[in-house]
Amino acid sequence: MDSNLVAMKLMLDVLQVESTIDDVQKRKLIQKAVYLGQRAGVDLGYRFSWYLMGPYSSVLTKDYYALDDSDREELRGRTLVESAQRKLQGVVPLMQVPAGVELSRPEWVELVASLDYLLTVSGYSFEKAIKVLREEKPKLAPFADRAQEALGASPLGGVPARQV
Amino acid sequence: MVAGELRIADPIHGTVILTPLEAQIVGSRAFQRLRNVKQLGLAHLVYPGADYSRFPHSIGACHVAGRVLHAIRDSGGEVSEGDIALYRVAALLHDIGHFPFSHTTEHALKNFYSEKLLKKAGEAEPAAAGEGEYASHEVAGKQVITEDPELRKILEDGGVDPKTIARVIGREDPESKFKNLVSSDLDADRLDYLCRTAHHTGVPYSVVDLNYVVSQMRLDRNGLICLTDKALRAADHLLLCRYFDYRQVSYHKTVKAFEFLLESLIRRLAEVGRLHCDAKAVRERVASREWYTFDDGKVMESIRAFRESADADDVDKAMADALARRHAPKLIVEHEEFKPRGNKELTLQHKQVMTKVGEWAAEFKVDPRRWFVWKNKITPTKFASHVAAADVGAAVDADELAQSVRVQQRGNAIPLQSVRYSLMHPLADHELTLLRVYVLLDEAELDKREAIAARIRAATDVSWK
Repeated sequence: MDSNLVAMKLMLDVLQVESTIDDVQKRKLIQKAVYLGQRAGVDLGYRFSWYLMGPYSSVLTKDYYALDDSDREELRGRTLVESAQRKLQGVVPLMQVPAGVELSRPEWVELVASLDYLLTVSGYSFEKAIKVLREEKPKLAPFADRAQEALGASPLGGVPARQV
Repeated sequence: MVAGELRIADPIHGTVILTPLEAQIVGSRAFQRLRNVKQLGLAHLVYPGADYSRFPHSIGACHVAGRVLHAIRDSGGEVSEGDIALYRVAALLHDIGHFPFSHTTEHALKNFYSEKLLKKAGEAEPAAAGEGEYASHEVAGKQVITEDPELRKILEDGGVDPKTIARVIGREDPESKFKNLVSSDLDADRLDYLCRTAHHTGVPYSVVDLNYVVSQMRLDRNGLICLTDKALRAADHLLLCRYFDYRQVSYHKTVKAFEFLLESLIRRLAEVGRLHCDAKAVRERVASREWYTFDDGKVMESIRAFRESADADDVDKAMADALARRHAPKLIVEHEEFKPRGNKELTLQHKQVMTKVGEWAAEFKVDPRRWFVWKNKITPTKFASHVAAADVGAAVDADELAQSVRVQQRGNAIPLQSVRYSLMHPLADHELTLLRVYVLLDEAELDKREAIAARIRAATDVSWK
């Protein structure tokens, strides 16, 4: 198995995200989790673009299908180096839906990843990011402030609510 | 003719006209570098004509992007002259960050840098843990566009923000109008690539009906490019072209054999510190303008120097010599079969072979590093969409679907494979599985080939050809 597939699988383990792909919600969660894991500083080399469901990497899609086709025994006895694990632990809280947020876990992580992407990669202000979320993700947008709060409390930092 | 315009005679598109800004971009050193980065890696060792570079391909992609947008505008779509100018430049620069030998180099480096993130459970933290972050060609491209002094000045003087171009190429801006023009199964890159590769390899199976396909491109309600329903047969044909391109060129048995050698050598260059290609090294190369000479020739020169150095062991030398003399590793056995999608047999077959390679290497006294086991699948409808016909329904990944070739049907754009009378409908549920075992044998060992093949056939449950 290619080392980058091993690294991807182990990243998902640390982030407490399943690597099974039999369901579209699971695949969505993998995409957003790897995005956030890379943002935490463990860069696996995936480049994310903006798609209907937020940050998405077609190469990552290819890789998790390849992982699904691989012999999982090759993973046995392998782990991420501690420095990578420490970085990822910083974003594990972002994978959990906060109390009072009426979204599923994949939806919550989609919101967090999307907001972070719009602010840091697309370079949008918070207001512009919210506008995009309202237009493209109306179900998620009402919880954008909570996502901003969660990002702010994480090593990713987030940005102030009112950005010039 | 407008002052500063450039007319180029292109074997695929005829006369291609570049605007003054595009002509300046083409004249930049970062773009001229693409003359020395082959599009098809080592395919020319099998198809002698297939040594075209990313230079004409990038110009071709620019031309196709312009044609697609004109076609959309002519059919009533909202496309401004500014849109056309922007997307042509984006298509022109979409490959600017490609490494020498492109995908082979990236595969070698991705694995090399990923391994720095890994260790065995219970082992102490390695000294070089996490050192070096892999940089893909897309990341490198963004660096070149936004940080190369010459290119940045050309763009800025031409009224174009380099960051905007990078965002269009990377599809990073939700407000981009034509999101899948530069990146999807139906993009300008692939359309030029297929026609150009068919022309230069002499393999005619991937000749796309480019004029008709371009004329039938439209925008769906989400601003994504799709095809009219009239173009359904052309869409089927396009995907078949891609299938044959993969099967006949990219996955050609001898092309893959040479890529194994090259990938192994590039990996060794990285291991012994003769090739630094992490994100930091890429940034430094761009800033120092060393990027301009970071091309196929540079890598081959590095391989030659490595071969003559004390860093190279006997296997390294054998690989370098085999590549230089065009002595491909021998294909010992091959399995090829269409199977239903999702079938796990290939994984099991691959595992069966991999667990025995060490044993065979010892038995035939051929170093295990000289053995290469390769597996892959080709789904005719794939190459960004993994969606089978049966899965196109409520619980489908919208982003995976957005990558696929889509046709208009009753006001909606739907994946081709979901149209029951498209050829892709039945083909989407099957995939071609491939499993090969190669061994790099010295001339004096070639007589081992049959014996190795017999051993593999006897020891495995695979239906080898």
